[in-house]
Amino acid sequence: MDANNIIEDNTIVGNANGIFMTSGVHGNIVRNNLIVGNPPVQVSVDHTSSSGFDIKNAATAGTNTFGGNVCLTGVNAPCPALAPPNNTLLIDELQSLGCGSYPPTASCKLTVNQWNYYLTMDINPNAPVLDFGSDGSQLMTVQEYVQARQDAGI
Amino acid sequence: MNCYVLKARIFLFCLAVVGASSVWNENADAANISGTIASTLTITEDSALVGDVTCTVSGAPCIVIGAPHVTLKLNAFTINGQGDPQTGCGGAATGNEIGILVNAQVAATIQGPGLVQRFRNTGVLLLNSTGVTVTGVTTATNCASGILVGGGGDNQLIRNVSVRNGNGASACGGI
Repeated sequence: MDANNIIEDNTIVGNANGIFMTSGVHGNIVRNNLIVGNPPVQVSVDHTSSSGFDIKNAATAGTNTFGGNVCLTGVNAPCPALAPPNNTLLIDELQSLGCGSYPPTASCKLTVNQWNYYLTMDINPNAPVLDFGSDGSQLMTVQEYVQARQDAGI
Repeated sequence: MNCYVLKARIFLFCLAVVGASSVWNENADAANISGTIASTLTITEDSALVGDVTCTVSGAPCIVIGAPHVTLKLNAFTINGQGDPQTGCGGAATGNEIGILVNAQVAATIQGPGLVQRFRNTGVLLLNSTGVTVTGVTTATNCASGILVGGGGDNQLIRNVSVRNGNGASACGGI
């Protein structure tokens, strides 16, 4: 892969490597994939020289984004990760809807009303909205919004 | 022989030729694809599998998307290469023997569900292409990568399954 690709919601099992990223690639988003058993366990047992991983990232650290993947072995990637962190999917979706970008950035702030709008209009119409005790015009990042919802018990 | 009989025979002959053309051996604008592909099939309009495909192309891609904004639907069918059914290959990939190649195109789509398996190189290769979407495709037992992106950018690989691709000799990945 080269630049700015999205690798999302894939299931990757029993390959020589799960996801392999060569040096120099950048701006790629690898999120919410299930990547386990790469290489297959018997290969690992019988051929201990095998150099396969669930995620093998030969690119410069920090130049690609990983989030919400389930994986066990990785080079230059956040493995093991046995489950996506809480709220990862919600944060990802809201960020994409509200800011058109990923990963979440501190520079993207919307009002509480706007986050509520994206949540109820595009993700879950039954989700309770966040009443932040004001007119809903307070600006916050997606993480702050999701955290505020948690703090409010919703 | 009257004219109508002759026309009918010509028509039936044409039908027979069309029926036999499930063995693809040339480029095509659009196609319902099935049967055996004996030489690289380049599609330039939206196309779909209507049956399983067996590729006997050696050392070259099986299907090439050769125009921008073209969609290939797999329709839950299988594209089979010539690789070993257990390993995909004997340890070394065969150059260019790719299942589906998107070469320097924009906004093409490969839409599953469907299976691309047993190619002696990569199952699906996006080469210097941008804005391509690959979704719902299963790649299995290909000698090199299941899905490989080389060059280009802004592609989306979503909800695919990659199983048992790659070999011990090179650093291939499911993706």
